[in-house]
Amino acid sequence: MLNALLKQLENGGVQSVSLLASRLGVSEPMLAGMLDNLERMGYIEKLVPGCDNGRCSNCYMKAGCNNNQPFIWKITAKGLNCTLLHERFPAC
Amino acid sequence: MAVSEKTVPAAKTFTIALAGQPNTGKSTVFNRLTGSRQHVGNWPGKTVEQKTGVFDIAGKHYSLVDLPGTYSLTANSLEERISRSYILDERPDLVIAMVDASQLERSLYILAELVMLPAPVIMVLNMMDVAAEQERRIDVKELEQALGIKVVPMSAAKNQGFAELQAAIAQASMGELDYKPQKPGLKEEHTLLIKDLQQRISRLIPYAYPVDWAAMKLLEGDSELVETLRERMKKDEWAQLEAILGQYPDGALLVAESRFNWIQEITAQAVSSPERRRLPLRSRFDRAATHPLWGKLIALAIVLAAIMGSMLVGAPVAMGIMSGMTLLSGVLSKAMAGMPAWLAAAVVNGLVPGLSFALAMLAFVLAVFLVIGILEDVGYMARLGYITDRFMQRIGLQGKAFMPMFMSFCCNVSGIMGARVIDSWKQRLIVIALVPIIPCAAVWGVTGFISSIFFSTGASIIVAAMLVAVVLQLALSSFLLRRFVVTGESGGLIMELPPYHKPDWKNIIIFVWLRGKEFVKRAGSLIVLVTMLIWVLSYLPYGSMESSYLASFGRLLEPLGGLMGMDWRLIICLIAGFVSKEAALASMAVVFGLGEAASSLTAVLGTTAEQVSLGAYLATAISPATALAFYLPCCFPYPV
Ligand SMILES: Nc1nc2c(ncn2[C@@H]2O[C@H](COP(=O)(O)OP(=O)(O)OP(=O)(O)O)[C@@H](O)[C@H]2O)c(=O)[nH]1
Ligand SMILES: [Mg+2]
Repeated sequence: MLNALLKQLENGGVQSVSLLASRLGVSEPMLAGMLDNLERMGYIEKLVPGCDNGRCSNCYMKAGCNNNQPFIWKITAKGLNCTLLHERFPAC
Repeated sequence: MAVSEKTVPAAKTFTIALAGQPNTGKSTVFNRLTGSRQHVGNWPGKTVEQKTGVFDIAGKHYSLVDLPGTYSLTANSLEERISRSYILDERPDLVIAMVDASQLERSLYILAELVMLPAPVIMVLNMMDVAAEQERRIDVKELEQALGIKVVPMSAAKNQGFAELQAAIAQASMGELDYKPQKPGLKEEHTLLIKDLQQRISRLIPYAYPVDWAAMKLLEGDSELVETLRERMKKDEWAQLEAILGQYPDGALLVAESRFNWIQEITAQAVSSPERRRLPLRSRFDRAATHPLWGKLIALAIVLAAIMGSMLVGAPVAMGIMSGMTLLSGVLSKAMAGMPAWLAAAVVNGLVPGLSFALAMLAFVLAVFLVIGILEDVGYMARLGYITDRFMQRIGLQGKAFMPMFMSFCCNVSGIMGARVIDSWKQRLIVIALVPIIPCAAVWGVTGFISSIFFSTGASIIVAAMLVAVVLQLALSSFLLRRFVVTGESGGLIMELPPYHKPDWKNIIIFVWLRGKEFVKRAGSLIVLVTMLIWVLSYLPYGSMESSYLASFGRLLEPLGGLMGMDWRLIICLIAGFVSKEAALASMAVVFGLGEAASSLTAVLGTTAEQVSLGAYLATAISPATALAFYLPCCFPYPV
């Protein structure tokens, strides 16, 4: 399950949580838990879109940037290596 | 193991621990059960708060401990160590696992760990009110059966479910509750591995640790357990064990996988989530909005409508302000007739135009924020970013390259900063080159503003045309880039798209208000400063613009600007625009003078509608606006 998730990330592209959940056959809270977990183990990392505080500090548009930005996760080097291990271990 | 097997000495109070992930309502339950009979201290030797308390049910005494909230029970953090060593070493008579019903699958993860530990567990399914709101249906009986443990539904904050919880606690304390938990296990093919690990460690692990739990933890790479075993094992034994574990560098993933499989099995029958029976209309729109072709068309239409909408709101207000200020400057120049010439000039030609441009600009910025606020509040903004991914994929940029593009819709600077996530430098450069093409919120405001000065009524058409030009430019860039970019950056992204909902006007107004304040604070003062500076440069040394320092500098660059059909005045504005777009506007106000901004510009460009064919007129008149839109976003991002 987690492996299939990493596989999806390895394949590239951007996927929404809801699309991915239905693709993996799990509910959204389940996927949220899986993402949590992979993040804690260092296989994926959360990116925080929004302004760079230092550079944007003088921009009056700054406040608009951090508002309601969605979470975005990307696969880490560890995650990519793990999917490469796929051949040897069925569950990675 | 049934609770009844445990002997509870009469003298010892029945001890209960509250465990669960953060924010599941442990403290709420703790407070309701114990009331004022609680004690707050620290865990021995730790800085983490420890809350203990007592309560009675039907004359019987119970003691309760509020464990720190943790996502799992691996020795990753202090909180996790505290929670698990409390359960292992202090052996409470009962563990209450707090689970969030609105996030059931997610918050069951810790239960998968708790059932492996020696203390019996009952589960409190809290936040039932939220789950009901979300139309998440949970069959408690089914869940209880699948888990093999007692489940108590509850809405702790609404004081619902406490009688049932107290009854369950009383039952447990009398040994009347069945406890036959279904435990998560590794896949078939790993049973031998686990057996082997168990054998190697069974004599060496601390007495309190169940061996099947310890073997799993070892595979997970639990630091505390690894340390203990390294100390207690003979050198060669440890080397062997280490070699075995070395074959499973992703052992933690195997174990986590087993827990998620367990959760999936447990909830398969018991939970019906709203996603599976989501209202068809919204999801159908969403499918279209994220579709490769329709998504783009919808996005284009929405952005177009948004820009035009913001101009419809902003333009009349801005024009009103401008004409009001023109009147004011007329009055002022008469009133200041007796004062020194330079002072009158500074006020009438420097300060007033600067202020009025700042105010008119504010009208546009507020209008743009209003539109962006609406788009964001209904949940569309995130989708707008989402569909740019298709475009990125077409030009061979994958996944990560999407981040900066997505962020550029609010600010190109942050988009360029965001390009840092791309590992390949070649791709990073291409993305940085593409980012400024994306019209950010500031560009919307400035282009809208400039176009309305030039074409009061036809401005929307101009902006629409510019948007089409942006799309064409992106398409052209993509065509060119596809020839140079060969490799795709590996690794995709997952993005949480917020659900659609009706716009909340209060939210939007607050959004606009806060941004407007920010604008006045930052851009407002900048505009006034830049206008004064430009005015000084245009006044010195002889008090006439044509012979000023500014003019000589601008003329120096005129041959370059000639390529774009601009004279020295516009070049000055463009240079000011490197600092920020508002600065460009401010300098326009000074060099062209207020009120005549549009007409003088047209005159300067040497093109009036009667003189030249319409096409040429548009081309020249648009060029300052497009140049502003397409050139560098602001100069600051480039030293990245
Ligand atoms: N709607 C709703 N909110 C609840 C319910 N139970 C608790 N809450 C709220 O959820 C929030 C978190 O509750 P806490 O009791 O502090 O959670 P906790 O598990 O102690 O959190 P940590 O100490 O961080 O681990 C509070 O704002 C509670 O008011 C419930 O049944 N329904
Ligand atoms: Mg708490």
